[in-house]
Amino acid sequence: MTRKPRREPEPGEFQDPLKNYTAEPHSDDLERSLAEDPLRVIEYKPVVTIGPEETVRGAIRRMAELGIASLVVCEAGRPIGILTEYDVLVRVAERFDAIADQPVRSVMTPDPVVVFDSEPPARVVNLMANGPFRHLPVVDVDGKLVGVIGPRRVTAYLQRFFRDLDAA
Amino acid sequence: MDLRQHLRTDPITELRLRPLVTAYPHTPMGQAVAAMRKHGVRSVIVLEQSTQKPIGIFNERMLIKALAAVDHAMSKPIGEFIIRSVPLIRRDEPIAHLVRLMKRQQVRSACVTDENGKPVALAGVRGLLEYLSDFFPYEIKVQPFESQFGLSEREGA
Repeated sequence: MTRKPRREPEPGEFQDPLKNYTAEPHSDDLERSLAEDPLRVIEYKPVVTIGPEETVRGAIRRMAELGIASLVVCEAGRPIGILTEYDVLVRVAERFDAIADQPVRSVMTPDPVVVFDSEPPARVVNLMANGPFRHLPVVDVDGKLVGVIGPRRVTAYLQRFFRDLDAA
Repeated sequence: MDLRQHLRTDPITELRLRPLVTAYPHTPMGQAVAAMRKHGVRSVIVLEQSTQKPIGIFNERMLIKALAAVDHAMSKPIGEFIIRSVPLIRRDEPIAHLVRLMKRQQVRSACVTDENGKPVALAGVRGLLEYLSDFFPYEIKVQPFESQFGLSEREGA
């Protein structure tokens, strides 16, 4: 098969400056995955939710029973806050006896930064590495909660690329 | 040199390590929690007072279990709630060993020791993600920090 000769544009005709552009191939599986894979390559389900009026005591008990690091606070299926281990450390622990029966709304982190299920894993890594985030609710295009990603799930994702390091 | 080679050769000290916060088994939990808050760390290494050797680790997960299980948990000795196994890594070991340790022991952080086994710092997932982020800046550091997806209002014209 022979290549069709390139037609020279007529004077004044639009020329696409990127028509000969070819993206550089990724040098590494992880690099490609970070940039191009869908977010679902990081396991973001299950997610445990709680209503904003449930008590702080109830939230702590649920986290302890399930052995989980975060609860997403939802109203009508949308995340309005998040309660994480870190929130418990900085806002709850030292005054737990006094606030145990207050609503979880009073100690949660409101309006958490969320990631969309259509975004690449690199967004999560950026937020966790360079921002003050460790648990990120995952939402669909309508803003409905579909999952949550924490450090343990990101570590599990990365370890798939580092299997060969076991021999190191 | 690719990422895997770097992980096999770069020592743990290439990661941004977190300050080491220590306590003794009799330290009240409230005191340990205050130290965690002050230094911005998620774990406390618990040392045997006579030998200064690490004998356990206390982290946010143990804090939640303690709050759920007992009344007035903050006044209890931390030794009642620690995990009696400390993931240790020497500071001259390669980063690959930390990755392996995290996988095998299902932990998020490890206690970094000097060549004599003395605890000197903490290494964790965040340090590893920062390292990766520097390695793949064109994929990772270009990502936005806010939650907005597309335009909040329709473009004019």
